[in-house]
Amino acid sequence: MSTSDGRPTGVTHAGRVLHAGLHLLDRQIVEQGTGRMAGKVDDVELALDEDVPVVRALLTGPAGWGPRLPGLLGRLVTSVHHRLHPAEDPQPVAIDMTHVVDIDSAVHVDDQDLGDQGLGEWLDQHFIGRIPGAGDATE
Amino acid sequence: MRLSELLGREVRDADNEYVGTVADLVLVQDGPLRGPYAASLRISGLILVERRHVRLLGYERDVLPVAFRWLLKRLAGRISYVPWEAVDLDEASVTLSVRTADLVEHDPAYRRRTS
Repeated sequence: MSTSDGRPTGVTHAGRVLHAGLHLLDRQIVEQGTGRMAGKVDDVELALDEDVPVVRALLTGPAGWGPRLPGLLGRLVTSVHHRLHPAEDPQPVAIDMTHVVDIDSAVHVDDQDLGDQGLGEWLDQHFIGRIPGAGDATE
Repeated sequence: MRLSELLGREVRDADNEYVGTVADLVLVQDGPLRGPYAASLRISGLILVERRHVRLLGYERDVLPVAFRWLLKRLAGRISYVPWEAVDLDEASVTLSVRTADLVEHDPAYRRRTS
């Protein structure tokens, strides 16, 4: 995404103020080139050990939102996700902030492979994908 | 550290008095250049609310309707902003290097600088 003079839109927002919880958390992630909805921002990773503390990455997937759910429900989601994911200790998909093109009502990222999301993929295949019209969701 | 680990945490001031809980994290897009698109989002400070379990939902800003802002203020109690430099964070707690009396009230007009 760029302005009429070719600059990435993110540059035009330099100096703006955002609230992490309000403007990032639970926002839709949209792939820039394809317009594909790639997930939600389920958590935000902070780089507090750097000279200037900054936002390092946006986290998405059940390993991101599972721990945010309270009590038993959160533990259940996390545990099912661990069981279904091929990795031994699955981590949330991290989208480094270098891939974030713009932030408005959605978070726009450049095209990238978000990888296997375990529980998310399983739900897509077994439930969401079977809903009539699911294959045309982006149209 | 994850944002979700920070939100809702109890905050104590320099005298170990209860101040409130972390309601949100203020970011300013003026950090070091990171990648081809923009400056990184620098962590500027925390927004604290006096009472627990209150979600601000953006109504701490200068937005309409006024009735919602009034109601939120009644529910949340004091809403204050603490610069990140005054925040001391460890595994379990958030401690400030300032006293409650020295805290700055959150400025709702900041939204005019946002997109």
